[in-house]
Amino acid sequence: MPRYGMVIDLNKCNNCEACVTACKLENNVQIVSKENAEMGRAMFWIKMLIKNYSGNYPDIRSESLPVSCMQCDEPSCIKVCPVRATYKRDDGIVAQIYPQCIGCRYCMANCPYTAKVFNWFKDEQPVENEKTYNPDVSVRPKGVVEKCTFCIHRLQKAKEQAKAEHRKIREEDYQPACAEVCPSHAIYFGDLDDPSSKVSKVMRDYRKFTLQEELGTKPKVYYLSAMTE
Amino acid sequence: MKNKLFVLILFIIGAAVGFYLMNSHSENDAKDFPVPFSHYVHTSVHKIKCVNCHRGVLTQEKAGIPNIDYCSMCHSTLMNPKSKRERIIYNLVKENKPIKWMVHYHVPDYVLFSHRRHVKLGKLPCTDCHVDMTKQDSPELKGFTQIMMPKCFNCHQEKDITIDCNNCHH
Repeated sequence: MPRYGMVIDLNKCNNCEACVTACKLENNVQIVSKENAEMGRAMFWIKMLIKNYSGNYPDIRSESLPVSCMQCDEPSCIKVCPVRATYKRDDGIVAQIYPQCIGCRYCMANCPYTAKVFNWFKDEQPVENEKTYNPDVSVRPKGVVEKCTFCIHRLQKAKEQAKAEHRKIREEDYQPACAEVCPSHAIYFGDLDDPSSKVSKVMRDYRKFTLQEELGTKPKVYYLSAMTE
Repeated sequence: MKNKLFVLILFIIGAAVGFYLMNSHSENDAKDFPVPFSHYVHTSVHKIKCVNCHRGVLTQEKAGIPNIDYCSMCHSTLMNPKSKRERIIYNLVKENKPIKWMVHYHVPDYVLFSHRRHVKLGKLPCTDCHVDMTKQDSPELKGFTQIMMPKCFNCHQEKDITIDCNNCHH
């Protein structure tokens, strides 16, 4: 069984937020109004935390951190869910079952990375936007918690295609939207347990770190720190 | 006494008519449809397979319903419409007007069901979930099966296929 994980090279990340946009479109993440976003109800499955800009124009360097669900090996969110709406799959992906979620938001409170978001409102997009919905992902109703799923629908499609072609699933078959869209190829994705996969090769870098390591959640999203001069 | 006899006769007539309607393929069956389309004629008489028209079954999630551009591939050879049905089809093909089909089977928004996965890869016959359409005109005439989760569960457990929630709800 593979163990999917992600490595984000902060040296390459240039803060363009293409991953944020791609994720929103791919997963039908609700777009909330400006007033509600100001109240902290904006919804992102991957968000760009901007730390600092340095240098003078045009030699500006940004220090930023794209943060999505860490897909922890020891997730703190699943321990508090009273209805088992969130659980860890065999392949390591932490899943969220929307029809089962009662919206108690315990998991949100327990997540040290604030990766989960709550649907405060019913998804009401303009009629023109209806055709931009991804049919492979359900539109979440009001009152459920949602989070990054490593684009699990893509995994299913890749598995389906591999089965139809009587072969094993390849690394390039399954890439989440953020990894696929990244223009500077800062996001690597694949099977962490496979020593020949690109992601596990990149992971051996000495710059590797994870967020809030001391909590023992064992995140599967690794970062490679940006080198400073 | 007379009243009882009357009720009895009425009951017998009613039963006979009901029995006749249930087992007949009269043209009236499809009267409520936008087009008098008969699955029975297409599948049993002309021996067209389900996947020939519902082309998405083998390649994608949704089976899909063909529309006039696809119908006209066969029906364009119809030159001299005689019956009422033939005339309707002839006019539709001639005008190339899209048909507003009634959709009976709706998959809820929170379930993601793939026809390809079940029919192409799982090799299941259509009749496992749907009514046998080779015997009737429209899916709703008799035996409209509503698909609920226990049905999915039973089959998945029988065939030893994953029952992970996330595979269908994501």
